[in-house]
Amino acid sequence: MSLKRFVEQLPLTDPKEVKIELDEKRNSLKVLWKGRVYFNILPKKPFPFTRKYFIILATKGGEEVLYLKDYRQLDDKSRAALEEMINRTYFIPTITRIKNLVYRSGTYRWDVETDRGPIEFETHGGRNILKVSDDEIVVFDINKNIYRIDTKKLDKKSLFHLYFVL
Amino acid sequence: MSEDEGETDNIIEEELRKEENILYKFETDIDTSGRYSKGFLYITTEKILAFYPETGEVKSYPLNKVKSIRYLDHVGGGELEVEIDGRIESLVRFTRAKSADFRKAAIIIDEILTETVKPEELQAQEEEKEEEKGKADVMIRLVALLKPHWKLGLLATISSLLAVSLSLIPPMLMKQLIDDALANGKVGLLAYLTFLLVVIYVLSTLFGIAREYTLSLLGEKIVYDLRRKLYEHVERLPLSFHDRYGSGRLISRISDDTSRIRWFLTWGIQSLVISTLQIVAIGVLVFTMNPYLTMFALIPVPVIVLGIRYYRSRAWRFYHRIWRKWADVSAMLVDTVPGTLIVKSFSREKIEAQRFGEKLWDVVKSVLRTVKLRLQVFPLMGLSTSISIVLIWWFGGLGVIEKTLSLGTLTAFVSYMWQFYGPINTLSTLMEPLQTALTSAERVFEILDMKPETEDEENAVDLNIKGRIKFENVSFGYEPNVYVLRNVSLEIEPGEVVGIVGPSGSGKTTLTKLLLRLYTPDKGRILIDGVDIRKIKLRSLRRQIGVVQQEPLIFSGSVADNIAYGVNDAKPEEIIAAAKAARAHEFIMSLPAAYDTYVGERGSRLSGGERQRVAIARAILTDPKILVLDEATSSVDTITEKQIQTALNNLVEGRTTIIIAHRLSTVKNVDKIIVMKDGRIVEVGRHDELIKKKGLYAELWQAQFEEEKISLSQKVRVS
Repeated sequence: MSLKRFVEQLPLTDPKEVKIELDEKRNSLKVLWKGRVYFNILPKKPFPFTRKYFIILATKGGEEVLYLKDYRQLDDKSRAALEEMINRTYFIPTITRIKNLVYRSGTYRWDVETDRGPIEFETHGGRNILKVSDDEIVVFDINKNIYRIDTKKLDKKSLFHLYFVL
Repeated sequence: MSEDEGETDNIIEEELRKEENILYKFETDIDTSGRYSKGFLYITTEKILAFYPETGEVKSYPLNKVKSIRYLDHVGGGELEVEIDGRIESLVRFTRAKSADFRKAAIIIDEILTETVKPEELQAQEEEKEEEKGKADVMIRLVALLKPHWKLGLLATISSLLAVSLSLIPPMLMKQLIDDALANGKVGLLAYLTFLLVVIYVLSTLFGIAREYTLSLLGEKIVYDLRRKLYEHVERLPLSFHDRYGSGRLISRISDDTSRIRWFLTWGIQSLVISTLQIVAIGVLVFTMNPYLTMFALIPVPVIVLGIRYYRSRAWRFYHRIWRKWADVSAMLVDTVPGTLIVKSFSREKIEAQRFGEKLWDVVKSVLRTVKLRLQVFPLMGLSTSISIVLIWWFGGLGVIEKTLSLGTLTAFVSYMWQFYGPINTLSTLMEPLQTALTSAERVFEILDMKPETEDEENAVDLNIKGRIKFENVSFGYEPNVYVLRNVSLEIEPGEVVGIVGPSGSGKTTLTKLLLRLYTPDKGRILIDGVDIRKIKLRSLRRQIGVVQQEPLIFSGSVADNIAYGVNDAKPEEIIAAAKAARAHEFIMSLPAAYDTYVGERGSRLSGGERQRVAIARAILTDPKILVLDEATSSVDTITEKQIQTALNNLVEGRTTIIIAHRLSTVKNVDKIIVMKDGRIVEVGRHDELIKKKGLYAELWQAQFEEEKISLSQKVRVS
């Protein structure tokens, strides 16, 4: 079977045809598409760093319902509801300042400020610090927590710390 | 050519007809009875001649009567035999020292016999090769690397010259300071001279900084260019080159050797030029100051010159050995570090550590040999310069006491002497890195001089492949005249699924390597949709053939990067669709960053089955017209195999597919099974037909069936 046919089988949908609402009762999303209503929906990002706006809407049981290539094309209300749920399901704090970063026996110890508050964590070596674009870095700690860094927004001292781990 | 050989040629020429020419001559080292003796094999435009000067024996075979030639590998030697008039005759015997030559001879004769090449063309090809051998001098080629950055080089040279020139002024000022300012109590002159000294030292420091920066920049630019060029070239070299060199040796050449070249091209050349100029300038200065004392200053020069010559003549061999030993260490690391699992599972840790220790000790021993060599030369040179300075103090001091020489002149003289021996020492210590750089350069140029993979022929086409494959009498060997495929002919229709089975080493994988044009057949040709694959643009051909291997190579990067490896502009939905078809989407979505998850070096963070499915997704994304599955499921467990099999069924649909399988159950339902043995096709048919035939396939099937039965009964007993 050709690739084209495999792609056709994906439930790729025009975001303009989709309405999304928060379903507080079920702590999930309610999705309306072509007269059909889907309950218990959660957003999933297949490419959380490189294609941030590509979203898969799937049931809590894991059944994939709709694919949105760029959710920014949703109407404002739907987009707000979706982003609210993304914030609940994707906890990826952004590091705003690196207070200290030391290396000891194969482990980096980070002392940072994030948009969600201060935190200290550890990463194994440099393999878990990934440059995903010119300005964005993603850090995986030893517990598989994820942090992102927007290098454009870092102060000089933080950049100095970062320079030695990249 | 020796006189004896010239005489031999004259005898042979008498045997030739007027318009007959000698094309090739090979020398052997044993005669037909197996005794050490010189002999010659001549290939002329009309015949093959074997001649043994000691016995006068001549064997002559007209080319038009020789049917075939065979190269035979024996223990400790080899033999060429010819088929002529229905009988086989021994043409020439040789020891293994000559086997490469006679392999070549066999190929040449074979090409003439099969009319692949005309004798005259062969001679032209050989002349071309001879020309290639005329390599430009390593040093000239090294310096040529500076050419693109000549402006930076010039800037560095100017700053160096200025810094060095300024360093020659202080002793002159010191002379004036002692003899005039201090001796006559001139405070004003003292102030002026000390101010001048400060200015000179500040300027000298500034030019020194400029020199350091420009040289470093130049070095980095050169090494960047060289590494990139080398890497690009290595990637374009044929697979046979990679087979021969191994990754450890190549990595060492791209990283270490280029660093050594950088040092030489920047600091090395600069020091060479500047030190030489310094020696000349200071030499002239001291001679004009006092020719008598200059005599003592020259005492160490012969020691230094001879010492350097002695050192140079020996050092390169020692350094060459160190590089080789280091390359052995790198090669072992490349093998064993990624293969830790195997090392541990065979409890080979201690043995591998011992092997590593031995190789490392070889490096230590080689380094110590060079240290010994250095110690034979350089301390003696140092001692001779110190003695010469002592002599200058003694005789100069006597001059000062006798008032024939001023104290200022003696101080300036000694000061210049230290500056004089400085560059001489620099020059002598430069020899060591110079030797290493030249050795490294040789190794780098050796690779750069290698011919890259066959470029597309002039009239090569972009073919939209339908999928009909035809092998026409294909023979191939990784080594000349040692065939792993012999006269293979087969046809595969578009969309057909074909299984290739056979014992290990029967040539199954080689068949697919030839299809991808990773190697070129020695004989015969391969056609796709009726077009010889040599006439299809390499990129077009490989883009339309997807390969899934037993041990898929996963690169460090994200899962998405790996799936989209062959397609630069893959859309996200295509990546997902390919992963879904490969039954990989589910496990990928469960990874911490889904498709953006970093998979580690060689995909170490994924299991074997996951890596395999990523590789299948990669193949699906390229949407190949022809698919090659090389033992794609043999390294995974049964459950994973089932998942992969489902993924493969998706992939196979509508494509010409070649499945190389060890487990015969994998190919039971394919359209056609090709059974191979010793590089030949021995059976072709469907599963049922081949079982009925009771040939090799039936034997293999039975053996595997028995094996599975035994392993199943063992499992039942254990549980």
